[in-house]
Amino acid sequence: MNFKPVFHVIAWLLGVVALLMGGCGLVSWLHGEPAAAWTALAYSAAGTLAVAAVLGALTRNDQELSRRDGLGVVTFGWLCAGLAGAAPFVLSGVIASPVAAAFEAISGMTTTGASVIPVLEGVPKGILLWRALTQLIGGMGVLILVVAILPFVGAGGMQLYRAEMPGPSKDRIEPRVASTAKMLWGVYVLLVVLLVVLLRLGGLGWFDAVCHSFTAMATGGFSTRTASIAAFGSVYVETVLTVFMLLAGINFALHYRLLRGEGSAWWKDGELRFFLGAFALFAAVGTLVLHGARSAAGLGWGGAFREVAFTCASLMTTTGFATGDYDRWPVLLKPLLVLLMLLGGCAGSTAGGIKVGRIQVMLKAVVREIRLFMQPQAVIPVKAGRKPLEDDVLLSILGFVLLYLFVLLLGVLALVPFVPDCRTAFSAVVACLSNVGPGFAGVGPTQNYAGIPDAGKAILTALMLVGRLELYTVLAIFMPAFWRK
Amino acid sequence: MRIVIIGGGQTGAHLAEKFCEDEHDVVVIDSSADALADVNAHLDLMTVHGNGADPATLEEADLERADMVVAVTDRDDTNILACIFARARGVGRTVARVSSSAYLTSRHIDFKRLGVDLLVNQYDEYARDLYNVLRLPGSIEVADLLDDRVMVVGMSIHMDSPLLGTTLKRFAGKEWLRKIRFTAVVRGDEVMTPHGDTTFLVGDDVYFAGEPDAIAEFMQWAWPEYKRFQRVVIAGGGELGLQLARMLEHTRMQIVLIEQDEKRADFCSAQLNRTLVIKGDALDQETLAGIGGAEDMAYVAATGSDEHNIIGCLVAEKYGARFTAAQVGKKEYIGIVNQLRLLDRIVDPRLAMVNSILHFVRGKNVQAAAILARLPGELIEMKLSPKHKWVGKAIQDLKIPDGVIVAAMLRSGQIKTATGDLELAAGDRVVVYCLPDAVERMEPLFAS
Repeated sequence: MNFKPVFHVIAWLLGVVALLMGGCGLVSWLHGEPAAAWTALAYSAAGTLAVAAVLGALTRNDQELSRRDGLGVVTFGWLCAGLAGAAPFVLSGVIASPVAAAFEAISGMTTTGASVIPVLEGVPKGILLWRALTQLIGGMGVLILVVAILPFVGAGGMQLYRAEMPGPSKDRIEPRVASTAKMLWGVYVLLVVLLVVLLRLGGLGWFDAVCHSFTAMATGGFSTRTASIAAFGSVYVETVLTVFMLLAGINFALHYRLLRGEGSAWWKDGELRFFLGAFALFAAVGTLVLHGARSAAGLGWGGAFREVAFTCASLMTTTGFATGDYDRWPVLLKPLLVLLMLLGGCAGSTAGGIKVGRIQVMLKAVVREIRLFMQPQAVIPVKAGRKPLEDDVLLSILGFVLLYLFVLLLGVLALVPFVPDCRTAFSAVVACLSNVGPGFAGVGPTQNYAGIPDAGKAILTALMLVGRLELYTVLAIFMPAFWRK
Repeated sequence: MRIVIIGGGQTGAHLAEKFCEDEHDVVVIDSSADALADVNAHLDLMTVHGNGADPATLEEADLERADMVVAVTDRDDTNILACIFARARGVGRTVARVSSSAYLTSRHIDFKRLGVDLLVNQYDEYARDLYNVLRLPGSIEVADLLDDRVMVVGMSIHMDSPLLGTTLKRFAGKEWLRKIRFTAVVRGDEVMTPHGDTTFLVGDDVYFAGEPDAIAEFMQWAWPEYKRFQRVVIAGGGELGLQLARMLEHTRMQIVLIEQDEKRADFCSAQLNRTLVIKGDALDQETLAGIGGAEDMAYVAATGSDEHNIIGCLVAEKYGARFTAAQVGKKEYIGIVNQLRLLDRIVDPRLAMVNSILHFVRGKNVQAAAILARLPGELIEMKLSPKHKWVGKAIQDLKIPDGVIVAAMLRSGQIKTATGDLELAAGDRVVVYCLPDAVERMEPLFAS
C-alpha cells in the first residue's frame, strides 16, 4: 500500500464528513437546541476538518491508486470516518463511553442500525440527524460519493468502487466510474427525496420524515423514536416504508435502467425475482403461522400480514426497523428470520447480508452436484441470467459464502464470553455481520446493545465493517503482501 | 463521446488507453475474459464479455448510445459485421480494421452504404510508415498530412550537422527556410516549440514540416551524409511485404522480395512489376549474397514471425545492411529491441490504428490527425469554417494556447508555409502541432 495517495483520499473523505457534521450542527443551532448539542457537532466538525487539512497537507495525490491502495482507502477510510463520526456522541454527552460511541457511529455508517442509546426521546435533534446521516452516506457508500463529487480521484476511483460496492460482479452502469458513481447516488437521492415527501404526506413531521427516509433507503434502521416505527402506528407509513425498504434492497443499476425506460430489465433479472419471491414466500408462511398462533388473542389476517410483511422486509433488506416484537413470535418463525437476515438484499443494493445473487448461485451449484452424483456424465452449467458462470467466478462466490459463515462462527465464539447467553451472542453476530441491527433475546427489537461490555462492542464493530465491506476488502489488510510497497 | 471498441487485443487496448486519457466513455467488447481483465485492471472503462458480432452482446454494450464503434478484432468478417450492426442501431461513426486488402480495392461494394464509414487496412498503414522512412533515409519518423502533400519529418542533430550550435535566425536569408517550418525540438524528455532563438544541440530531434520536394532539398543540405538507398530487401511476401513493394515501385530504388513459400512467391511476382521476387530463406546469408552487395541496402523483415524478423535483421546487419526494420507484434519484444537498439526501426502495430481514427474524436473541424511514436503530442489537420475564430487573422496575431504551433497550410490546392504574416481565410486547411497538455485547450477550436 502507498501511504501518501491513500491518506490523501482519506483526507478528502474526512473533509466531506466534517462538512456534513457541520451541517447537522447548523440544523441543531437553527432549531434552537441547547448549546451542548450544536457545539458538540461544531467542535467535531472543526476537529475533523483540522485533521483532514493536516493529513491533506502531509500527503500527496502523486500516483494513481493501485488495487491494494483501493482496499486501503476503503478500509481505513471507513474506520477514520467512523471514529470521526463518533465524536459528536461523546462531546454532546449522549453516549459516555468512546467505545460505545464508535460502535454507534460505525453501526450507522455500515447501515447496521444497532444502537447503544436506550431512550431516543430527549436526544437532541442535531445528534439524531447526524445519526441518520451516517446511515445515508454509508448506504450507497461514502467513497463512491467521493468518487462522484471529487474529480481528482480519476481512474483510481475504479479501485475504490471495486472495494466498496457490494455484490460479486461490480457491474458498471456507465463506462466511466465517476459517471457510474454519480448516477447511483443520483438514483439514491431521488428515492430518498420521494420517500421524504411520501412520509410527510403520511403525517410525519419534516424531521421524522427526513431521518426515516435517510435510514430506510440506506437499509440502516436508526429511528428517532425508541419504539422505532411502531411509535407512529400508521398503516400508511408502514406500507410506504415496506415498499421503499424493498426498493433499497434491489440492485440500483436496475432502478437506473428503469428510470431510463428499460423497465423490462427489472423483471428479467433473476436475482430480483428470487428476492421478491423469497420475500413473498416468507411473508405468506409468517402470516399463516402468526395468525394461527395469535388468532385466539384477537389478531386478524390483516393485522398478522401487516406485522409480518413489515418485519420480513425490514430484516431481509437488513434495515432493522421494528413495528412489533418479533422476538415474541412463535418459535417456528425465528429460524426463518435468521435465514432472511443472512440472505440479505440484491447485489448492488444498499442492503447487507450474503446477498441473494450469491445464495442463488450456491443453491444452483448444490443442485448441480446432486444431479451429477446421480448422473455423472451430465453436463450441467450453473447460470447467472442466461450465461453460464465460469468456474473461477463460481469458486469465488462459493468461497465468499463459506468465508462468511466461517467469520460468523468465529464471531460467535469470540462474543460468547461477553454476553449472558448463546442466543444473544449468535443473533448479535448475525445482526451485526449482516448489518441488520436488532437480533433476538438480549439484543432483540425492544432491547439495545448498551448492555454488552466494551470488548464485545469492539468485536461487533469489527464484524459490522467486515460485513458491510464484504469480507475481502477488510481482511486483505491482514495479509503481509498488502503492506509491501 | 461514447466509444465502443470491439476487440480488446493489442490494438484495442491501445485505443482504449488513448481514449480514456482523453476522458471519453469507453466500452470494450471481447470474447476473452482474460483480455478484458487485463484492460480493466488499469483503465477506467466498462467491459462486455462476448462475441463482437453477436447482436445480444452488442445490445449489452448499449450500442444505440454509442457515438463511435471501432472494430479491431483479428477477424475481418467480425469487424465488418459489427460495424453494419452498429449502423443499424444508429451509431454515427463506424470503423473496421481489415487485414486483407481485398476489401479496400473492391470497386463494386460500397462499404459506406453498408454502414462501414472507414476501413483501415493495418498493413497499408505499416507499409506507408516504412515507405516514408525508406524514402527519407536518416529520418526518425514521418507523418503525411494534407492529402499527403505535406510531410512532418523528424531528424537527429549530429556532431557535423550545419544546424549544430546555431539558431534559426542565422538562416534568415536561406531559400529553404521559406519553405520549411520547424515544428518541434525534442531534447531528452522535453519538447519545445522552436522559435528564432532556439539553439540546436547534439542529440536534439528536430521535427519540420513542408512539401516533399522542399523537405528533400533541405535534407540534402542539412544531412548530406544520408544517401538514398540503392536497394531495399523485403523478407516475407505477406500483406505488409507485398504492399510495401508495391509502394516502393514508384521510387527509383531496386526492390528485392524474399518469400519462402513457392505459391505465395508466384502470387507476389504476378502482382508486382519491377520487383525481383526470390524464393528462399531470408535468414540465410547465402540468399542475401545471391542478391549482390550490401552497400546502401535497406532490409525490412516482414514475415509472420517476430523471432524470424528480429534474427533476420541481425543477419542483414552483419551482412552489411545500412538500415534494418522489422515488424514486431509482441509488446515484450518491442521493449527489449528498443532498449538494446538492435534494429533501426520497428513497425509498431499499435499506432497505425490510432492515427487513422483519431480525427473522429477530435471535433468536427478536424479532418486528420497523426501521432508519432517519438514525438509527444499530436499533429492535427483542421479546416477553418467561415465562422472559425482564426479566420481573417494573421498567424502571428492568433491567440494560440502555449504549446501549439501552426505547421502548414493548404489554400485552394496550394501549400503555403505558415509564416507569421500569413492571413488565414475560411476554407483553409491548417496543420497544427499541439503538445500533450495543449490538446485539451485547443478542443474548442477543433469543435466550433
